[in-house]
Amino acid sequence: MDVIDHEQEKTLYELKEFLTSVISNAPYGIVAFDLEGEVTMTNALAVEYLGQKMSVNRFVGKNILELIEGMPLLAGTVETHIDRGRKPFDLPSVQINKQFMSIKGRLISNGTMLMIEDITAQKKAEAELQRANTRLRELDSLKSMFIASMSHELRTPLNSIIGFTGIIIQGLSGDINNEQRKQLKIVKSSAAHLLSLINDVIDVSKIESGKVELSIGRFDLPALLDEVKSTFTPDAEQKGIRLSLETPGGLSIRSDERRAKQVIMNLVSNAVKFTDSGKVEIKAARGDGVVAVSVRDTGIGMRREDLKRLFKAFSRIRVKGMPIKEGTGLGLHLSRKIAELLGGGIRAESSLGKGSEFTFTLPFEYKGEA
Amino acid sequence: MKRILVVEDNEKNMYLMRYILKSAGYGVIEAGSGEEGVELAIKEKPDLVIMDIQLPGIDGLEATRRIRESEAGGKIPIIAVTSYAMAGDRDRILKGGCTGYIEKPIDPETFLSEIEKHLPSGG
Repeated sequence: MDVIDHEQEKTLYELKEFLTSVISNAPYGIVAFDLEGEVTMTNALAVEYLGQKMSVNRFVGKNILELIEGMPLLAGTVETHIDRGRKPFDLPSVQINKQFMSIKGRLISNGTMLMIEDITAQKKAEAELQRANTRLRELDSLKSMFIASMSHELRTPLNSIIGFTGIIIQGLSGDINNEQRKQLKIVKSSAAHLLSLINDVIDVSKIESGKVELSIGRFDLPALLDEVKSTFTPDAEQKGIRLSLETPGGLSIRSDERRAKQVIMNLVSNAVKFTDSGKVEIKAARGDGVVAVSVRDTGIGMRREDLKRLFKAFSRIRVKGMPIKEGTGLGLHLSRKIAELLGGGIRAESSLGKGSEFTFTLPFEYKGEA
Repeated sequence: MKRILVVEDNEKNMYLMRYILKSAGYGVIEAGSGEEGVELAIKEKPDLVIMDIQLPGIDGLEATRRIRESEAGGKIPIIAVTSYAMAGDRDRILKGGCTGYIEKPIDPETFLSEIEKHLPSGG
């Protein structure tokens, strides 16, 4: 043994104190053992984590394998580590009594160090999250079922309301005066409006659950546009705005006619709704593999920042000095989703006070799910 | 007088259609289920059938198939009445032997003209 002088002894003592202090205060359980498995250094957390009730000092000097005897996974790993070539190892989750520990083995000079971390709280949070997730999935399918069955129940009485007010308006069940006719027409159009809102809600829930069934077939786009125009001509005339249509002839499309019509109806309906003077122009133009149907109006328009929110579900754009128009804020959201389902898209341009232009692009041939 | 068979399980809808059709001078035969509808279509040989698709027991599609299979039913126009929720089923309905379809809710202003498009003229 080399002789060391007093100064060196003091330095060594200070070094040991320093090391002990670092290890004692580490936020992990630490156990160092030598090549034979004899514990050379540890801290109180490690003693506690390994389920022992002895002091740190008594822990030192014992064989690590004896201390972890009761933990097969850890014991097996450490035994292999000592006997068959020392390599770093990670045990992400070891159960000790009722706690969960993450244990890492790392090589140090003349031995191995175990770093033990209590991950019980983390494990519990994970399990909690998993339960919450399962519950969320259950709720989501419950929501879809609820919407599907409620919407059916909500629609059935509307069939009677719309049907019978229609009969009375037509005078089928006896004469009515003009005031009564006017009032019943309001009843009927309100019921029809309510019905279209319910249908929008059903559509959104179907699209969100990926349950939309397309009905693909060939149809003549100009004929469809003409139908849409006729539908809105009375509304436009009543408001004193001009509704025009410009389309090349013979535009045969293979897509879902009803869905395409739904999108165009929505765009024209919006244009008429938000225009109080001037005109609404519907135009179709051929593009590369697609047809672009644009609806341009001279209505109230909107600000650039509103354009960004325009297609979000339930978003309503407010324009100063304008009363809020009736609606759910689902129309454009739905239209864009449908346009995308059909392989196309919708874009919008607008400036406040000058009007808006919406362009719906639709492929000539539906190509199937993208 | 032309006779129309209405297959519909909902009382109020039945009353509505009966009212419109009778007001327009048609004879109305009523069936409250798909089975009854098939039976009456074969026995009564109506000029047209209005068929609700969502029915208890055999649905409107199955009833249509059975009417088409029977000798008498070969050429009767069958107009399906569908609800909005079944929009994706239109192809199935037309391929299933229906001549046309009307979507609920029934609008008395257009209902007759929709039906009459499919009624053989004359008689």
